[in-house]
Amino acid sequence: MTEDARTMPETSVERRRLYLYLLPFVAFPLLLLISAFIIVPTQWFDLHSGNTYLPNLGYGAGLMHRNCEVLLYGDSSALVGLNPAIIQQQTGLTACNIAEFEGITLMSHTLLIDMFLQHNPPPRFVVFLYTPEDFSVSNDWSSFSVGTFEGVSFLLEHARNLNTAWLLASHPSITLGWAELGLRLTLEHLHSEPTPYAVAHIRETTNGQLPVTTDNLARCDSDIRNRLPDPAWINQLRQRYGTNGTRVIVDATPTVACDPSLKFFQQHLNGLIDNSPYQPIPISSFSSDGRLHANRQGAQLLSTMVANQIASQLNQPPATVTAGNTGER
Amino acid sequence: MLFSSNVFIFLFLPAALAGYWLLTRFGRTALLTWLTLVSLFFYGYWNPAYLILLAGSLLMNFVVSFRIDAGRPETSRSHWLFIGIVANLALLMYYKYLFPTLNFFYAHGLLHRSFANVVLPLGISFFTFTQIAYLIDLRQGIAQRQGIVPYSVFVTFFPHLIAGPIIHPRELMPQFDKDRIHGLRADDMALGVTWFVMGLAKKVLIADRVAPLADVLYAHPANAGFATAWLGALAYAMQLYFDFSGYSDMALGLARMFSIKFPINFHSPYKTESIIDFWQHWHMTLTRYLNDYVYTPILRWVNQRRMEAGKKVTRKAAATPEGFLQIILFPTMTTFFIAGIWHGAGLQYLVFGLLHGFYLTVNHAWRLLTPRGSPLHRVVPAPFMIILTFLCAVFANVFFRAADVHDALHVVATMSGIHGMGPGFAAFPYLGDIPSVSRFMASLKSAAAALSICFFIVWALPNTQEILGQLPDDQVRMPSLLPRLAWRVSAAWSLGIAGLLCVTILLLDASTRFLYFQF
Repeated sequence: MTEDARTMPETSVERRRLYLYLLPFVAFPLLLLISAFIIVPTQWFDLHSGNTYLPNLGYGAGLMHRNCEVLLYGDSSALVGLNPAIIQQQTGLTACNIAEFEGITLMSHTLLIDMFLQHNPPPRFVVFLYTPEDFSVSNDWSSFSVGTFEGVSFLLEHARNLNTAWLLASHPSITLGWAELGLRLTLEHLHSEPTPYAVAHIRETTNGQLPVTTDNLARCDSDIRNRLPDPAWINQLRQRYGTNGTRVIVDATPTVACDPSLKFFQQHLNGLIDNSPYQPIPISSFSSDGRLHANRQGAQLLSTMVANQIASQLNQPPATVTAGNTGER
Repeated sequence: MLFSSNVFIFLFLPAALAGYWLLTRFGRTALLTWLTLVSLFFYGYWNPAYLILLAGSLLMNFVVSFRIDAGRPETSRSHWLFIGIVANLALLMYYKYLFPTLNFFYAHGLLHRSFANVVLPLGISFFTFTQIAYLIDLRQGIAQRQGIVPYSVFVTFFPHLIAGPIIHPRELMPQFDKDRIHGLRADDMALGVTWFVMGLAKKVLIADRVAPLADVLYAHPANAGFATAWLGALAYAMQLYFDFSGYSDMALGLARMFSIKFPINFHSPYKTESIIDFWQHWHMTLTRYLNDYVYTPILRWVNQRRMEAGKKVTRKAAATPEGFLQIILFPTMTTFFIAGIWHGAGLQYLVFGLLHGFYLTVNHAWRLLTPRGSPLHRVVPAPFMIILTFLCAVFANVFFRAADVHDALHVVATMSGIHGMGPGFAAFPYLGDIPSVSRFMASLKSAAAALSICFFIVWALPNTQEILGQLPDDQVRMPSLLPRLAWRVSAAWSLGIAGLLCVTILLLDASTRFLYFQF
């Protein structure tokens, strides 16, 4: 287009031609986004995305009339580290693990527990286990280490309401990134076989635990994860779920002695959590996944720790049970 | 905010355009104010605290411009120009060079403590250089002093704020005049969107996809063998070109959406036959800036001193050893010493600059010794010159990309075969770090194929401004296999480019930052 032609006024025919030229630039991206919101939060996508966790996403929300006397919740360290079978064996109480990845727990907070409680009898114990940096509510979703994609999927699959719409609209970068990744995975796996049934329902066979089978952790992660815990948030967990005879235990996943953030966590978590004083456990208890994912040996250790806490509380009168002393009404 | 981010594409840009369109009826001041506001939002989205820095720099230069403006005593104008330049450079020095320099001294035992580096504000070099140019042009009577609103748009207009092109006041200011600013135009929008998408595709589909191979090489240079070092270096050459020229295309396209024209910044530099031509086609506005504000003043000063000493300043004089040293070598090396420092605080950037200064000096010597029409020119075929120029750029890029001079020298030694052939490409232990969307770069065959496609694009196809018919009058079309390929407002082009946009959108989340963002 020459300079002379450019400075000439556009005729209506010319303008219509230009508008038609521009139309696909608006329409195509919008159609892409809309199709993402239609395709990605579906069972088909969960089974075909290549992400084997997606069919197991929101496991706790699907449980009905399940007698879970001990309800285990938290981030991925609880998901892989708390074995309901061990807890049941050591306490005699039935246990269910409905924990999810960090992104899901930090985006939807305790929505999953609320959904579980709507369809199941109240548990005798609710146990929260979070990695030590996850004891506060952050509105900065980009700071979450893992699970933002699953977090958005969970909200769109299980909580389609105005709150979710507002939440996603106020985090546009994460939401748009979810749509883009979801569509890309759709195209990549369009003709792939669905996730096998056994993998898609693995949590049903383990009462919710997702055991990991990777190598043991060999050396310490040098990441410094000094995020302050929020005492009010922890208290709120105890108050909100410590009703109808339910007792609440809030634990921080133990880390390793060489964790550069250990002292920070000890300084700020002691007194707030039920596994105070916050102590490290051997590095051989963790898998090479990082993020304090316990291996089989570590899961034994963590599950026993929780079982002992429960057993100790079963032998005590209710009023003195929790570190925050607001655990029961 | 990145041009290649989903928030920019889906939210910021449509909102900026919609606001501009709605304000059209309210006239020039409303339009310029809107551009300033959205540009400040664009900048502050990354880190709101640095808005204060940008606003402070802008206001300081605006105040200084009053003191430099015509009508004041000449001596006072010069003093204020000096103050303005020093203040701008001091800001740049503080954020970009002070703490790295102090830490360099600490590392060499000259200081007893280290210092935490401050976060480099985005685009500080670009908005500082833009404003220095304004003050100099004002002092020389080339530019006219502007009101606060047009001046703010000149400095902050978001398409060039972060990574250029570096724009002369005389190029941009007249476009803000009352009779030239009209709001949105459909023809400019069509051209601008097309230009933007082409740049976005260069960045997202090419630069970011080949980049991981360069990343793993430069993260672990000691583990690379001959083939890995070469493939990594070539991948970086392609990443750098498609990243920065893609960014420039996006900047030009975005500006054009608002009916504002920016100067071309890349014109097929890898097709050039000499390093002098290379710099006239690579980051052209920086080259022009260095030429206008560094090289030419130095050369003028040298020539003046020679004339005062009764020496000649002719081409013939430059061909003598003494004349060559003074007229060619000294201004060139000094300019590229500064260019090297401009690119970053680190010895490797200095070496990068000096290496290019050396190339240019040799190239000038060649031109002096073999003037146009020399039979030697016929002996050396053009493809050889093109490849030689490209290889010179590749070697200099090693210093530009490496973490330090030690790593760069190691890579250069590996590429030169000094370390032998080393382990084969497949044996490089960090290929597993290449993300899944660039997995093809982890295999020798597919990486070579991907780089071959890049070479085909840069050497055989016309560039974006040639396709779009936006070649400036002072530039000639470079040779290509598709000399007639020309963009038109047609259904085929619309569907093709919009389809390209969709493909890039699907890879946006796998995209990385721009290489020139924190210069």
